[in-house]
Amino acid sequence: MMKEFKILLSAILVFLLSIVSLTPVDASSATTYTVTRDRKGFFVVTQDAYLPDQTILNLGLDSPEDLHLDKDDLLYIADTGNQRIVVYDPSIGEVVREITYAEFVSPRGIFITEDDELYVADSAAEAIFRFQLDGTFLEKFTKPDSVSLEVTTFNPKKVAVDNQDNMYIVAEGVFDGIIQMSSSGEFLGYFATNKVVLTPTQRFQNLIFSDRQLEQLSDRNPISFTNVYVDQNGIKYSTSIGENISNVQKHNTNGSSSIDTNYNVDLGLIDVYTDQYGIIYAANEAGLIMIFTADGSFIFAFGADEASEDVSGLYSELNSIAIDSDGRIWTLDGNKAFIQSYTPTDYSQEIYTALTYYQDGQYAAAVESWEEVLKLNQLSVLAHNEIGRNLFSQGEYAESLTHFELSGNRWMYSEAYWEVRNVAIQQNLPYVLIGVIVFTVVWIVVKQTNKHYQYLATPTAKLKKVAAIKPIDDVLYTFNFFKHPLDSFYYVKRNKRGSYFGATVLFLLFFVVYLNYTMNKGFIFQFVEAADMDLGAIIIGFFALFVLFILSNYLVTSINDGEGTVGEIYKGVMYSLMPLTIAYTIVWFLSYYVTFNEVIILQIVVWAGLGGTGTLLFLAVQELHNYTIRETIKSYLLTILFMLIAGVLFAFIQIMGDQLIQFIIGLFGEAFRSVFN
Amino acid sequence: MQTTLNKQNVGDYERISKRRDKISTFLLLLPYVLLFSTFIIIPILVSGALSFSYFNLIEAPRLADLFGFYNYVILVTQDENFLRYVIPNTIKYSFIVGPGGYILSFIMAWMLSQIQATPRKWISLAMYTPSMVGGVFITVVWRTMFSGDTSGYINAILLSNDIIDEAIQFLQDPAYLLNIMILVSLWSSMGIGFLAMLAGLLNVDKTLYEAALVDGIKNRFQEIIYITIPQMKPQMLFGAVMAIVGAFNSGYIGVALSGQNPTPQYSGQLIINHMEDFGFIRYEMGYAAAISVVLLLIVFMFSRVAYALFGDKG
Repeated sequence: MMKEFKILLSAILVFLLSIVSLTPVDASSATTYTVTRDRKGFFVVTQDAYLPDQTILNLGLDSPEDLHLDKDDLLYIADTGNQRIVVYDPSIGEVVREITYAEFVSPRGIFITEDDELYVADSAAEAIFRFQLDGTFLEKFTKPDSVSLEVTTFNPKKVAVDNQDNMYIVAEGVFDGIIQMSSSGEFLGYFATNKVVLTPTQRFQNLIFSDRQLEQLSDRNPISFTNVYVDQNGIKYSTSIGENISNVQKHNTNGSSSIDTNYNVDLGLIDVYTDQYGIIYAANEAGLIMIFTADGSFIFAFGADEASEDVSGLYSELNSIAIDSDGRIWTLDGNKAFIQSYTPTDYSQEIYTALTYYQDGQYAAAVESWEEVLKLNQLSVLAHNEIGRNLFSQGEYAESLTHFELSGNRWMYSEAYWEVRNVAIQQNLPYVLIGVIVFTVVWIVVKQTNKHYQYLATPTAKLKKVAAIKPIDDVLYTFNFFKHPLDSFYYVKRNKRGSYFGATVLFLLFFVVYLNYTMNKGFIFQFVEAADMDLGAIIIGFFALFVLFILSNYLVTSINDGEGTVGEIYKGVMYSLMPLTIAYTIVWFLSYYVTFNEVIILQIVVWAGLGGTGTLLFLAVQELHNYTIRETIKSYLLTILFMLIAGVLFAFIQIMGDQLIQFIIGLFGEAFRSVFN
Repeated sequence: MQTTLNKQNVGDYERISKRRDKISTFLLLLPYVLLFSTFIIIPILVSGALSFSYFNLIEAPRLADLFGFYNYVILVTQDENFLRYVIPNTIKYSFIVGPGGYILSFIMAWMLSQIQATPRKWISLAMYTPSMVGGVFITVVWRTMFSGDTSGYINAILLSNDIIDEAIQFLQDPAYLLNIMILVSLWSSMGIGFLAMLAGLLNVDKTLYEAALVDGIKNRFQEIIYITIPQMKPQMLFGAVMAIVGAFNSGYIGVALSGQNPTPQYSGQLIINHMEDFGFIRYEMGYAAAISVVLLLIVFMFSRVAYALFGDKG
């Protein structure tokens, strides 16, 4: 389920990157839409979360590459092209000072620690420099002397420093991971590594290629890290570029990620920053700014690139992102060398407040706060989901159900429903038990007394008479297949039992049950909502499959010594459907009362139904055509092959037919124009 | 005179022989009745009685609350582990291992019945061994196979082929344990039911097959459906009952594999483990007895299903 959501999400992200660079026409000063996801995982435009604020162009920057804020909200900008660090005070709008150092060649990454020290990563100088915030030089770290660091040159690109002054370095050409260096400059090892994910082709190449051939292949390196960040609590974050990985990682102490932001798409994220509440902000070069909760669930995204137009909030190449203590976002465009800030709207601030309440365990306050969010955006999935979680944490399970349903969170809905159902079971169990006991006693009494007095004889006889009426008997005949499948098919073949009428009734019954099963299960198991289904396609597909199977099987068997006729195959198939009909009915009913915890019950029922119908279908072909097992298997394989060919043929005819119609329309149109002009 | 005497004599004789019959019946039944009641009936009755009590092996049992039904009420309302893990686990385990093992036993027995006597003897012995040596064997073989460190066979194979990049804790990870238990149980499911079915298969009258061949039976499959299975219904029933009992009572596998009871996060907890957990670890004998009564009822219910399917009436 999570996976489906992610695939959807990834599709939408691509969509977002390419299309949502429109300038809205409303009165808002926002220049890009803010998007969030709806309950089905699709992206929808929501209220503006941030409004563009200042655009600072006049700092004389030359291809700046990094941006960081200190505790006093001063901006530190790595002005890479001019080999300096610019310190800018946005509150007075002036450059406060410049930090230069003789050994700077290309300062590309900066970081400011909790105890106010500035670290600068300079890839061309092959060193990390440590300064005081006023620019006093403290220390220089060069390539650590360690055999296990297998690089010839040391080109640090980005740096972050934890509370013990350990450095985490992203360096060019290092694919093994983030380099971890102690405060004395020793190499401690690779902090986090990204796994090489081989495609099936690459696995095959590994198997058959020689070493020399393998060397010639490019792109076999693991996904590389693009940035690293350490928050005030010493938690490390990183971004990496590559498909099928977590693009933003929040690292545990062992280097693995505690959040999962793998959307099966390369988001191209190049920078990550957090605010004091642990909200994660990440950005990519195209100007997309994505915001995640502290546990990695997506909140919203905004921003876009528009290289040709100078609109504030659009980028030619976003290089860095930082958040100040007021929650404002500061971004840096490296190509056009400007700084852009955004102020949060009430909408986003309310969301952050509510998230903080949940983290602090103030569930009631969080619910209130989320309800404020709902007033701004009634359909906010995040708000409903979080209200549900807060209510769940408070033990208000029944109330949380609606919110989980509105947010489409099936897993939590299932958890909450388990609790609700448990209470219901506890309350009603005595009555159920009494009912069962009373029923059993009555049953036994009736059975015993009936032996003596035979008072049930007349109704039973009447029922039997009704069941023996030909059309009804034809339908009920399907139950004979459960115990004596082979004999029953034999009687169908010899026209002794069963009829077209009975078979058709069973077929329509199965159709109704199937539709009900597909579209009308309980929320937890109805993964695709009925409103999103194409009813016409389901119906046509359903009937087409059966017609195609019966015809193909007849055509295949008639040239392979099969004895069955089309009518017999039709009857045989329809009389085989009862196990699945029963299974689908049971699953449909249970799906309202079962949670993910007991999903095995539904699976067993469906397996049994499929197994039953499958066995009957197999025996039907075997018996009706008087085949051996081997011949039956062969006949099935041929039938499936024939069905595939027929399917391709139909698709072909449809496409060609469309072309033909287009052609005729065009021809007549031309003729009309020639005649009437 | 003569006749009356004779009649009297005959009557006396009949009376005496009837009495002797009764005595001999009694004597013949006595050992069985004694043993059966001592080791089966009385324990069942005692555990049934204990299930209505609080009993911790130290103090004398005393009647539980709610007219003694307290343990049962708690079981179905308050015991969250039972409702959340034990029942779904038991359903999954027994519904796969029961019918799966049964079908597997039949197929194996049938295949063995088709080959010569000497290899059959040895192969059937080999197949019966796992269920005979039980827990010890499982612990040795399968714990080595699924060992959670890099030297475990499965982990080593997966690691050397780059399919995974760190060893999987198969036996401690809740995601795997139950499935491994099912696999191991299926592997060791050729038990006494398998031997019975093999014997049944070998005793089917060969002339019936010849007669059927004359009547137009075409293949082995039809032979099985029309002759073999109807001919060995008693063995099929026996095998089915043994499979059901086995499926519900083979809880030791989870504990043997993971090395702990309760199993990690209750992932492999079956009713029988739950019962042992309460009975022999927590010493809540009354509660454990209630669980065992519930288990007895479940096994009884499914045995009835087996009788309905394979019994003489069907």
